[in-house]
Amino acid sequence: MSESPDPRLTQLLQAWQQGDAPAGERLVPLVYAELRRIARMKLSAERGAHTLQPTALVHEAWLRLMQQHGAGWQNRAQFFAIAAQAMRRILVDHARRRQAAKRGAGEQAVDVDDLADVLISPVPDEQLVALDGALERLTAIDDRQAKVVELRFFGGLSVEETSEVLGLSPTTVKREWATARLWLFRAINEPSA
Amino acid sequence: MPSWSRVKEVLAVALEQPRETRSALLDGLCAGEPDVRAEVDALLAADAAAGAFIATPALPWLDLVDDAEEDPHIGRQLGPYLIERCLGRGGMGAVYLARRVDHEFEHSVALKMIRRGMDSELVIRRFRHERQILASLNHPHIARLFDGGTTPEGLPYFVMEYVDGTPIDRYADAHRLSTPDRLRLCLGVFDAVQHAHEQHIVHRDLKPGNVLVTATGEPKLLDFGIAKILAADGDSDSTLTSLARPMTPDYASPEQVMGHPVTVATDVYALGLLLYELLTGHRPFQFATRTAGEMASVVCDVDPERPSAAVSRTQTSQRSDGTTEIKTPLSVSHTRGASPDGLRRGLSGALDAIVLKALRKTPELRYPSVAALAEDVRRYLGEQPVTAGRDAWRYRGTRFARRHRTAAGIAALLAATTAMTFVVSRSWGRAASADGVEGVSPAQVTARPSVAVVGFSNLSGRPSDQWLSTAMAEMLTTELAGGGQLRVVPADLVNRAVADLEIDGTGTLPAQAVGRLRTALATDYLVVGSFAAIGEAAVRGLRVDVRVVRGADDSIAVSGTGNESHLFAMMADTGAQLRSRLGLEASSPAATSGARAAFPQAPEATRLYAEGLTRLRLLDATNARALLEKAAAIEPANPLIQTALASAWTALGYDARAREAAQKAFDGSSALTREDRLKVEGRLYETLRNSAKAIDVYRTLWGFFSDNVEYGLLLSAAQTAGGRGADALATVAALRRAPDPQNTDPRIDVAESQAASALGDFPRELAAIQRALSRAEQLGARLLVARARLLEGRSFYNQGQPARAEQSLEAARAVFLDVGDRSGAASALNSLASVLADQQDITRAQRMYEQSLATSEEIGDRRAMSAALNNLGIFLKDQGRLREALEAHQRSLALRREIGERNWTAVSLSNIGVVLFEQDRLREATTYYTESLSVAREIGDKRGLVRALHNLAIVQREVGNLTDARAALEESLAARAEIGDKRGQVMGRVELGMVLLQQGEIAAARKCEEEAVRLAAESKLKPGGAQAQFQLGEIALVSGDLAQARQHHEEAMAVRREMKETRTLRESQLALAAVTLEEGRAADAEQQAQEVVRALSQTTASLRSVAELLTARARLARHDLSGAAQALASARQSSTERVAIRAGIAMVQAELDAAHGRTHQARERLAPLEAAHTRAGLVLLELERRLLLLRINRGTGGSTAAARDLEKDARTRGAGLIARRAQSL
Repeated sequence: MSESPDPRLTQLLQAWQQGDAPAGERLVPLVYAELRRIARMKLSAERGAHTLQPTALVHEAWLRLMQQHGAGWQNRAQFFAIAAQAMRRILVDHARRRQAAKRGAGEQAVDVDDLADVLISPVPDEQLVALDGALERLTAIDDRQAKVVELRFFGGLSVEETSEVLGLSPTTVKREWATARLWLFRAINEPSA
Repeated sequence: MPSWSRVKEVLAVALEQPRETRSALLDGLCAGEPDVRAEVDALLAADAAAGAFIATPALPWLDLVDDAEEDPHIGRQLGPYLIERCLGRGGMGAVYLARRVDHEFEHSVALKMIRRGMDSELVIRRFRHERQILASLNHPHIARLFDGGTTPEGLPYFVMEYVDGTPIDRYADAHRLSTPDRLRLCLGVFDAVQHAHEQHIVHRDLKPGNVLVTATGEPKLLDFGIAKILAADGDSDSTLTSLARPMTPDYASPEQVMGHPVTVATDVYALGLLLYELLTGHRPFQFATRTAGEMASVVCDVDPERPSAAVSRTQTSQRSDGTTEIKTPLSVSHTRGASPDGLRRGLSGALDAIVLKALRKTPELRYPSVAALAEDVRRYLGEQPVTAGRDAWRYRGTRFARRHRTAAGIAALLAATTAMTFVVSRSWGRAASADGVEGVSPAQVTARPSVAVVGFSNLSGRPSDQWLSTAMAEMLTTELAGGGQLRVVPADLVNRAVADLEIDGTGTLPAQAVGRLRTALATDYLVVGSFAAIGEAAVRGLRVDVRVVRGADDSIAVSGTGNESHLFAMMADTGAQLRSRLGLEASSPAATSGARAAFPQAPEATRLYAEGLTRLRLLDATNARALLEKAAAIEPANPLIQTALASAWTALGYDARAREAAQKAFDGSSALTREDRLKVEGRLYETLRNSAKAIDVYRTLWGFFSDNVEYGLLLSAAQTAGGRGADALATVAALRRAPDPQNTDPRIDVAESQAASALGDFPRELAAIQRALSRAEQLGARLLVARARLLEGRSFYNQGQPARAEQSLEAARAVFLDVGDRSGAASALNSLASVLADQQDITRAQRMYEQSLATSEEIGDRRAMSAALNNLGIFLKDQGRLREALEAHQRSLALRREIGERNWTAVSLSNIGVVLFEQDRLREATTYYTESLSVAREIGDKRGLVRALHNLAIVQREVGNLTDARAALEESLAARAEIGDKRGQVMGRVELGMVLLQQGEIAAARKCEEEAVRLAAESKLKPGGAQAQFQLGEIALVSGDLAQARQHHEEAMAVRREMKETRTLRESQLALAAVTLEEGRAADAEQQAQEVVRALSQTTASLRSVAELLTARARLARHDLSGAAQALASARQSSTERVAIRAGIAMVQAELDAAHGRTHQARERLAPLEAAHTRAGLVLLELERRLLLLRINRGTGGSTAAARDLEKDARTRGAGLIARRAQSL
């Protein structure tokens, strides 16, 4: 079945690639919308709940973009950077909402339209929220490293892809990730540290 | 704060180092930068401590990133398959989505890569072996296994049908499938598994993760047969400890955990778990730790909570991905499209039964096939009764039109009065089990909530209204029992508990009393009520108030009005109210009217019945009988009345009448529920003493209602009575698996004790009864305490501890009197008397017997009277007061004939025979024995048969009918072996040895007696052992080994002295005197023999004769001819029926004649004996005669040839003494 893609998406991607920074900002909601659309399609096209992995969804979105818009490999990196960001927002926001609802009385209403509900999140809500917070703090200390985390974790990019997107050597990416991991671990477990 | 970039730098390097060298490296790197070093250390330490302490939980998802990164398989091509991405990871390895590249269309497959660590060689070999079968597994609900291979690095992989689906549990939840829908989904799964089973493939690893549901709602089973292929080396079934671990510990079956063979039943179990989870949202087992030991013990020993109860749980659990999940009744019922109550109700009953049956620990007790499971589920969905065994009837009652129901009052009478037979007799006979223990009941029990109706207090104050209380209680009990959702405690037990605990059931129950009653009765609910009359009209109105007590402060109250003539309607209405308040389904009008029909219709009959019932419970059988007979006169066909009447007759010992009433009850029971009908039937067989049929009925009954301990108790009692002690013990074991607190019912211990006793396992008998005692005392169940003490006393007696026995029996008597059970008191007296008699405490013993007799007479209990008389008779016989003994036995027999108790008739007949035998009235004794034997044969009384045969054999032997004697003994020994009567075997062998000796089969005789000695030692039967020793002494004497003979006899005598057995002691003395004579010490021998004569009383005539004969022979040896003649004359005074004595007399006479020179006369005396001896096969006597003849002829030139012949014959036989004597002639 064909879907009508958002032409603005491709445009903005290209613009961004050519150095138009603000274009990147405007991409996030669009990518978010795109992700939602794909997810909803998957949900409605087939009867029954379909569980999606966030990273799988991101990949899927990219594949479609590629197929439908002929988006080139050059755009890939940007796309994933954006998508990773979007995905992070989706998941964290949802985790926060769920936590709030839990603190409130009664059952929470399950909004089947909510993308995040059908995503298998391997991370428990509190930890995800904590991760987000820690990542924010890391961004303040080491922006590049935080980006590595965002791409690898929320975007599901491999070492190769991450190095490509950020323009780093794979070794550096590995190191960044390995050390970030330790830092995050402590940050999440000992928030006061 | 150190700079992060610096810390990062150091950290990165450190991480690349192995742990061991890190510290040293850091020393170098961070020299001069202690803050950096500290930070680096802190970060590394935090990581290392991950998961070790609660404060530092592991964050597994952090590592997912790395795992995904390391996956080298993505993008590679294996054979025709291109691996695209990872679908998931499991214990066995990862599963990838792959695509066939040589096809034009997309053909996705799932590629399962087996991780490193498994024996690839073996796996591949096994795969090839299974491939054919697995590839042929073609079923729409089974994911096909296409192919398999190894990667270049040697990792095995399988190529399977790709199923894009959701695990069944998540699917069901996401779609909020209702219970029936979930079941329908499962049917597809079942079909698949069944299909595979038919191809002889067992899955072994069924779990929700392996059962996916596609978007179209089709279930698909994954990984069929993989588990077997991956199984560890050595055996095809792995255990938790194996490397391969294809089995998921959470879903392991008991047999898998134990390493036992995996079968179809294993898959049934797994499907049971699946059902459990799907239906309740919970798993049946929780594991605190995940150690192999704990899991094994939980899986194998902990019974799962029934599904309908599980849904009420609130539980927090960890998902496999580390997230927590909280399940509440609301949440689980929400995802099942129901309310918590509705869900619970929907699951209770049939679905509970189905699931639990699939989850039984013993594979053989589960559904025999998945098809059977599926069938039951289909039946449930199609709303037909389910066969999950024990719940069939209960279920049917709910689903279909209600059947007629009747009072659980029947249960009351039946349950309580069964094991009530404390028949006392001298031979507290043991029946023992046959081979082949039958396992009876299911391993697990579904426990229904239980209710006990305590009673209704009479607020109107008129004693003549008291019967209303009983009647109402019975009717309300019926009402609540209807539909089988409640287990009703038999009214008898309730009343007994109220009496024992001395609770005033007529007023408001204080909280403490409530608690005690609930504990004593092991019941969830108590029902108490009160009634009052309204108005003064001829047919008075009544108001009733009922309270159901659930806990300390938790009760429900309802009330109703009605009038006397429509009592049942009023109770039905009250009952209905209670049911609805308790959340039970209501009774249908048809059922209610059916139940009403079972009760007496006429108000007068109802009143008489209720009053009779009350009397019966107060242990006043006489008045009960009178009242019940009146009731029966009005409504003769009513089964309730007849059942109660049967109990009354039994209590009075009128078994024949009891049988009649039981038969009438059975005949009138067609309107009762199946359950009650079975109870009546079982009771009937009990009264008919048809244990085999009673066992059958009770087994059926208990099979259906295995949460009802009463039925199990009935079964074990029947098994014990029927001589199947081992089966009874198996039943007891099963009873102990009943749900708490029923499994601590002391009556179970009593049942164990009775069974053990029947098997002759006296230590166990004692241990069990003592357990029962302590528990009964705890519960304040006084009557049970009394009964248990009585049994304890008997047990002590069997163990040879008479002092303790006395103590217990005295205690029993006291408690019986305290409780008002005079019949019990009489039993205790009876037993006490026997113990005292054994202790030779004659005066007290006699007094006890007489007291017991008097008490029984007071009650009118004929049976107890006859028992007392029987024991008195034995006692008197032992005292040598034979005439009195005979009288007592005759009276006993008369009573027993009156009450029609046939097997006790047989006992009395036998006992009379024994006394007659003692009186040397052998022919008369034979008559009685023969009659006893025929009665025993007729009623199939094995013990009676054995006894009669044994006694007959003795008589036969005495009169010289050796062939008959031998046949009878052999038959009796065979029967003894059959019933496991070890002790009896001793006596039987002793007697057989005696016969063999007479027949000249000396070696065989010796063997027999030696066997008897061994058995006697084993079963700790001292007197029997002494008997055998005695016989061995006689054999030794005959063989000519005098020293040996003396030794044996002295041994026997020592025991007899110890046991204070006067009669047999004299026998031993005589035997020793005989040895003395053979040793040539005639004077001593004479003295010893005369001593015995003097000591014996008049009535032991035959022994006296033997003594006199010995005296005569001794005197002959010393040429005291006149003295010998005198002795001989005395010897003649006893009966000449005994062949040994007759022969002895003749021979002594002949010797005397010869001594006087009257050789010819002597020879003539001996001549006729030859024929007689030969005919009767009295070989030994014949040898003796020949010897004597030779000695007589010696003087007149006897032939030496004859002597040689005799010597040879004697030697051949082993009769050494005779041979020696012959030689010296």
